[in-house]
Amino acid sequence: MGAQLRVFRRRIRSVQATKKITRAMELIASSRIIKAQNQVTASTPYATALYKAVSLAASNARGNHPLLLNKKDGKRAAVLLVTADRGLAGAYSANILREGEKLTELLHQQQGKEVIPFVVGRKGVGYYKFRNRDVAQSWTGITDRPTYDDAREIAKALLEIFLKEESQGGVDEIQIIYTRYVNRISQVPVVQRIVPLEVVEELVQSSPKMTEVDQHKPTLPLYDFEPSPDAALDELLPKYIEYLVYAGLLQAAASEHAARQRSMKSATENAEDLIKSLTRSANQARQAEITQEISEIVGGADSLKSAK
Amino acid sequence: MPLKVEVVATDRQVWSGEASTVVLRTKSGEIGLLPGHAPLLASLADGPIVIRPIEGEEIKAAVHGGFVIVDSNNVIVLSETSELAKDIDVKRAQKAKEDAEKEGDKEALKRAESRLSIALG
Repeated sequence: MGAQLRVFRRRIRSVQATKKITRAMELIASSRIIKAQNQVTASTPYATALYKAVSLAASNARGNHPLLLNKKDGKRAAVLLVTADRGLAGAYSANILREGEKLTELLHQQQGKEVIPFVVGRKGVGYYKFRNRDVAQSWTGITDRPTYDDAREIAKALLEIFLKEESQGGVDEIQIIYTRYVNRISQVPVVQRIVPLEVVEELVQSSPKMTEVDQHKPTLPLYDFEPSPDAALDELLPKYIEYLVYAGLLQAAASEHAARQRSMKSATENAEDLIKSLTRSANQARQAEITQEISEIVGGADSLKSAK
Repeated sequence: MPLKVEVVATDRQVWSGEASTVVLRTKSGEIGLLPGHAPLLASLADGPIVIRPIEGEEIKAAVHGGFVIVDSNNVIVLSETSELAKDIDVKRAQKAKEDAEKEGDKEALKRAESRLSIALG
């Protein structure tokens, strides 16, 4: 076999091996999207109940809870970036990091705030490490299948820095950047402020108001609170924040798998194209070799004949 | 009219159905809920909750903290972790207890103990 043909055959084999790997990764990712989506669905009854409890307590509480209070003129903001642990997922982690840079710049220029990054996922940690930038805290190895315990740990760290005095490095707002899963094709990076809570303020305003028809009824059902609305809020708000982090992690996990599935699918397709064009070149090389051999034989026979 | 009861944890809905009574332990003591109870939002202590459904046997579940919301015969028990007594893995709970004892983690020990006591009746 000629040298050229051998080189082509070897490249075809290697591309075929790669294709097998990317195909397997594509299939694994697509089965994991479904699992991640189920996890999101499974947590919705809890979310609904928690939402209800928070809005009830918030609309009945008297004091202004620190987690709801909009502190003015803060100097620092904490940002939680949810990236992937592994690569080969297209621009998934890069999009989050870019969004993070944008937010950092925005907070810095418009409000003069210093941003303290918290990072989830090995890719994000690597990004910061490579640029010699400090990360307040990081969590790795959880992005594939985030559990509630992971979210609790992250929320705890975030609340700790929020509740610190400003002179000791406390922050006055917490933002989370994650990828929201829209569908298999589309996942968008979103920036969400989790503290001070904006959602609750809206909730209180949208609570049922008295209309003319039911004026004889009390405006809101009169709830008994045990021990008190404020104590309930104290206990509920950290849980609500934990849930927001958890929901963010779940969305990010589904998005990560979807991004990986898509990029592995196009990798498999590219491998197929490559194999096709390499096979063509190999065939050409084989033909050229055969032609050469024939002409050598014919040439040899001719010279033997003329020697006689 | 029976109570519509939902027990939810972060990762799933643990139980839902109609019941005649729900007994649970709040931070200030044990309360029993009957149909027609006044609207209530109470924070729960670690401990068992007992649901007596309209049909079938009494159901016990372990909850660790959390809240109960009662509103026009709807009872929602929300807790980060809750398990039905029949789903509790006794061996695992025992192991969790031993681990907690070794590490001196009081919170975990309390959780494991309450799970064990519920599972064993």
